[in-house]
Amino acid sequence: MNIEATETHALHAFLVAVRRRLWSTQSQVYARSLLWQIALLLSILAGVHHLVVQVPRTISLLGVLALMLLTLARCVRSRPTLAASAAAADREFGGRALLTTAVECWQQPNPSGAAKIVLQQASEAARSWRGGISTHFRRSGTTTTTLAIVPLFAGLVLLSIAGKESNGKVAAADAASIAGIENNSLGQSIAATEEIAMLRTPPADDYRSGQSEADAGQRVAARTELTPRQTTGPDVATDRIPPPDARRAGAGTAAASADNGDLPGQALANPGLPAREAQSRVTRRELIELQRTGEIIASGENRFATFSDADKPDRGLPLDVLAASAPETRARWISLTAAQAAYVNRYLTETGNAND
Amino acid sequence: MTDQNNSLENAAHDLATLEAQLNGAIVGQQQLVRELLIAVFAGGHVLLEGLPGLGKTHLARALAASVELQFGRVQCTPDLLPSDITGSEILIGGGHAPGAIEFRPGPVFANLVLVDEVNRATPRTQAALLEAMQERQVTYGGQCHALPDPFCVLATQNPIELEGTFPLPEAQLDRFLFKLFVPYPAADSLQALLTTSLDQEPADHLEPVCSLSRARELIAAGRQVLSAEEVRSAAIKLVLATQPESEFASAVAREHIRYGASPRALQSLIRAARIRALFEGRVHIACEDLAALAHPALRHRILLHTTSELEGHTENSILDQIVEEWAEAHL
Repeated sequence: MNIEATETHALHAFLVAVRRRLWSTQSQVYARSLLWQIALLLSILAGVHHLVVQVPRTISLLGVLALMLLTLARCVRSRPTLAASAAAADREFGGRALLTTAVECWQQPNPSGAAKIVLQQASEAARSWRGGISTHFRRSGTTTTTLAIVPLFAGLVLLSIAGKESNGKVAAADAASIAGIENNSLGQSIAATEEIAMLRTPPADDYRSGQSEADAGQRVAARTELTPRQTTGPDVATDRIPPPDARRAGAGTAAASADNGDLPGQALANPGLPAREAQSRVTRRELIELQRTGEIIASGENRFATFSDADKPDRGLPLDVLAASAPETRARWISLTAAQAAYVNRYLTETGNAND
Repeated sequence: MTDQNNSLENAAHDLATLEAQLNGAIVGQQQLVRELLIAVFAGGHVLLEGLPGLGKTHLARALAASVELQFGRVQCTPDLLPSDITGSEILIGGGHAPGAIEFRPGPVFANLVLVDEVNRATPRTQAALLEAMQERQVTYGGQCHALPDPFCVLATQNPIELEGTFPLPEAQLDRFLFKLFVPYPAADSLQALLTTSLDQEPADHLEPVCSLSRARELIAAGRQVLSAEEVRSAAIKLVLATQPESEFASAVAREHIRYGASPRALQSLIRAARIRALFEGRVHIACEDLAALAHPALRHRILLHTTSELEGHTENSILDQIVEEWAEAHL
């Protein structure tokens, strides 16, 4: 009995087709698992970004890339052998070890009579079973794959919201405050600041006088020497405040500057400070957090109390009180927009309380 | 090579013909007939256990008649001597040289030997028989006398009337390929029995359907049946599942089995699976063959704890659980 090459070819083609089917099914499982893992990772990163600390986008991308590479490696390693494909086909088609035995006979240099019979029977079986591969090796349903896209999408949305929120709101409010200054409208600037903080402020005090505001605004406009270009620099709309340690370091630097005779507000605009810190923004989330921790008390008209005071943890300080406070206290200002810093600085200068 | 291939290809047909004839002679014992034929063509010996009158002797005679096998029979009693089985030397006279001694072979010198109630023979006589089974030769007076080929012993024992008997020790039970139970026939089988064997013994009128040479070819064909590595591994795990100290031991084995199956059991399982594959027209064994032959091949090779026996567990019930657990992973 001669075994034709075409017969073994039929068997080989069948086993290759089975292997391809098995591998694609396994790959689908890995892909679905990858989607869930990415979704989980992005959700965790979004939570960390919102609640704990700012997470750079590169970290997110690196994490996703690492997961993809790991999954790809596992997928490549899981490629079935022909022997495993034969065993799977025997189980599915009821071959009773026919294909498994045939694969072993295939590898014999001089197959015995029984081996040739097995190869022949296996080839005949392979031809008859070829059309049933898709029926017996059904791919798993797409339902769970679709479900995995939902948390993935949610994770992406959360992560993108975290970025946009901090950039968009601050940019919008800052643009409004700058516009207020440009329009000599201090009220607009303060309102914008309130919008940033989203905090309820007590009723206006004496400083809410429109005339005094207008005067203050004019003085600011005349003396800040801030041009629209400066206020609308590339970092204005997008920069975020540094973390608390950096802020305290910045404030420390500001304190040192104050001790050296610089005004706290000027310290923030001091060229010695990093430009990002001088032109940083307070996000809404950070203001709320700062209020919770006591570092920020309130913000409102004439109440740029962006530092904590142990005696008054939940009330803002009027600017005159602020001006009367010690330099190191004033130095703990968290951040102001350049325009706000300039305003406070100008106020303190004009009230003569800049240097204590 | 061509003859071997023809032998393989026609094996299923020849075995089926033989099986059909035996099923005609022995009514209602299809599984017993199949397993007996598997054991005979696997070159092993069989221990038949059944109540008196179930046709054990009739089955052996029918098999011998169907395959042109020389048939020998030994009825064991407590006074049976080893020489009554193996044969002895006798002094001959007449035309021969005076004082000549000739070896007269005993009933064991046959292709198919029926040893009735082997547990009634003394251990010494049992040992002589079992030595012949293992060595396939008889040594008497310093001379070896080869037994015929093929050589198969069908030993029977009665599960009742155990007074005054000498149960075979486990080491000797291990020499039997299969231990088969002869079940009580069903009602319809008894009806057929009355029709076929009321006034005559069907075995007396059977014609051979398989020559002795063909039987030898079928035995040789069985040795050519292939076994894949995966199936061999499954067989090993099945046998090790009965070993309480093995890493593959099942929980049931650890709890109830004192001694598990030996490596000889593994050989018996594979040899028997080959013949079963031939019966089904295959030249390769499958895990289904192992599952089907696990009970006959293993039930007499495991020893239960005394407490397990007192609790009512039997070898069959323990094997049921072991094979079921094994089948979940391999079938």
